[in-house]
Amino acid sequence: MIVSGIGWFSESGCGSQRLGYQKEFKDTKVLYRLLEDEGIFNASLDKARWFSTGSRRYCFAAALALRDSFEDPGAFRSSAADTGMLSLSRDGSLKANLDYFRDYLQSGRKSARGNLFIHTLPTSPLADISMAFGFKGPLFHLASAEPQLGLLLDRSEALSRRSKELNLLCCISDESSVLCFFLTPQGPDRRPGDLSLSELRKHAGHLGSFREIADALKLRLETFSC
Amino acid sequence: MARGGVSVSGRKVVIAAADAATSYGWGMEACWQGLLSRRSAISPVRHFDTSAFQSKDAGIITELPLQPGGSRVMAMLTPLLGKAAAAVPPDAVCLLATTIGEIEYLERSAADGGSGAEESCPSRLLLKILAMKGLQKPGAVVSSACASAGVAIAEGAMMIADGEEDCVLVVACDGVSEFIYSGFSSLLALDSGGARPFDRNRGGLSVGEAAGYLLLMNEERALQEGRKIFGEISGWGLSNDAHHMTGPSLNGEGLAKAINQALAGACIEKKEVASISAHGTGTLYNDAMEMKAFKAVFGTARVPTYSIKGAIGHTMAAAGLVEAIIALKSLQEQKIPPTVGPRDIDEEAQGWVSMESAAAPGNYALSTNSGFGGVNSALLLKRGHS
Repeated sequence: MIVSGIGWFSESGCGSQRLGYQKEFKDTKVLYRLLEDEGIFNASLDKARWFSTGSRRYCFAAALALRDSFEDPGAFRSSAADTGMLSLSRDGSLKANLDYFRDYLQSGRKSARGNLFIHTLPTSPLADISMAFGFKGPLFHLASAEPQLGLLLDRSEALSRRSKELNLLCCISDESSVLCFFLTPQGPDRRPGDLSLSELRKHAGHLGSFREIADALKLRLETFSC
Repeated sequence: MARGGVSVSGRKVVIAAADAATSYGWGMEACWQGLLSRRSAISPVRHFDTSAFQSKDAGIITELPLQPGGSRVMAMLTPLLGKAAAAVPPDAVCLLATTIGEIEYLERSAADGGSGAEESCPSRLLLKILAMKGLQKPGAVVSSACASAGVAIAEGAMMIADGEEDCVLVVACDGVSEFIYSGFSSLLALDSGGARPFDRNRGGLSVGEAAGYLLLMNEERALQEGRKIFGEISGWGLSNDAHHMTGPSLNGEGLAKAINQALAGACIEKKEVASISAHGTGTLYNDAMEMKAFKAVFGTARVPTYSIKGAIGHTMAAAGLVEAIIALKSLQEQKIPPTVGPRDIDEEAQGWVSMESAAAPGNYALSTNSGFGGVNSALLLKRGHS
């Protein structure tokens, strides 16, 4: 497999490796409209406004990784059903869990909110992504006290050994940022900027934070507006 | 098509040890005998107030050795893993399947306004298990909603089949908590009279708690060490519906895809599947979806199918592991347990699901799970040979 796209969404902005741009995200409607106009999303993403903050981060980082990966942004559509999703973090859905339970306590332990409850799983952002992009491959989250990108890459390789057609969206996240790698089967042509999994592992397999990985991969995080 | 099986390296993945605690009590024999008795182990919840909720009952382990300030999952895991001390080698990789881990730490912290919620993170629980068992490798938490155990078992099997590891300890656990109970109640997902999987008038699930483990091993090593082989993980499949956050795909397409992957990986004919351990939650949509998937794969073959969730409740991340052990037991006994709970089997499930125990001769059992977000897992288990 090769890493054909990298996208991120962090406290300071968002961007992608190949396009190397970054936008302020205070108003994500701007980013959403851009990505929707380019045909990135499976359907109109009206549902995105109901997404949790975590899901929104994942969704935009994933969209940027996809935009990076395909010259024709809508081209991934034909392979979406063969795309799986894996994510990795240390704390899983801790913040969503707290939000849900505090809200329930504030009701005097009388009523809970289902829309908060369904986001108390660490896979909830991936599930939102799967609907936004039509991804129907394996979907799971990994957690570790010391998360390292190498763990995600190991599991991705194991899945890819069983399917030559499988694409994988791999996301590593912390409290405020999500970094997504779009992995595709090795084709006959390699574009400038494509990394092999072994190259990615060599540079960043032992790292676990957004900033460390971004630095190791020399991702351009400087902010500019467009 | 993705394939889940031994085809990559030819290494076989066997189950060298297994056990669980359920609301029937400690040990899988207690669970098996409880199921055969057709007596439900669902009972009133007493450790938090259920008066505001849709239901008052759950599959509770009534005699848990709870420590002050501790958690229900640790009270389940400590005796269970302690008993397994000799069976688990220190080089085993631990994969922990849980949805909420030790959620009581978060509940107390949120109620007191204090700190300590971080202690509820499943990655912390994993560290405790590694220390408890003296395991040397870092391991990982595997989370895929209510298919977590199925996914963890598939991942562990892949590690062994590919030669990455020789030995994987899959641990699965979830407790009945106010957190989970209030959530399912808010979604109107609970049946006040107890879950009735595949019943014509089913009205939702019963929450349950359980913990268990499977020790997966490379067959060659298991034989060298003279271990008893309980069964084999022959195939697996993982998929996602991309349909709805809480509802499965209505046509069962995603689950059928996972089952077909598992069959392809195991390189067996459909007719070799002796029984199906269904997810069978008792919700209207889950059970209907599963029957559509089974019929899409097996046609009119009417493979004997059962669910144990009417008896012990939906044990969330632990469900797939407990069900895999019961499926292995059913292969050993060459019969399936009755589906406890239903009174009038839905037309769609007639000829497949029975309220009676039934003979199921054969060497392979299919175990399926599905969860929020549309995740699906399918495991093909082979009968043990010693």
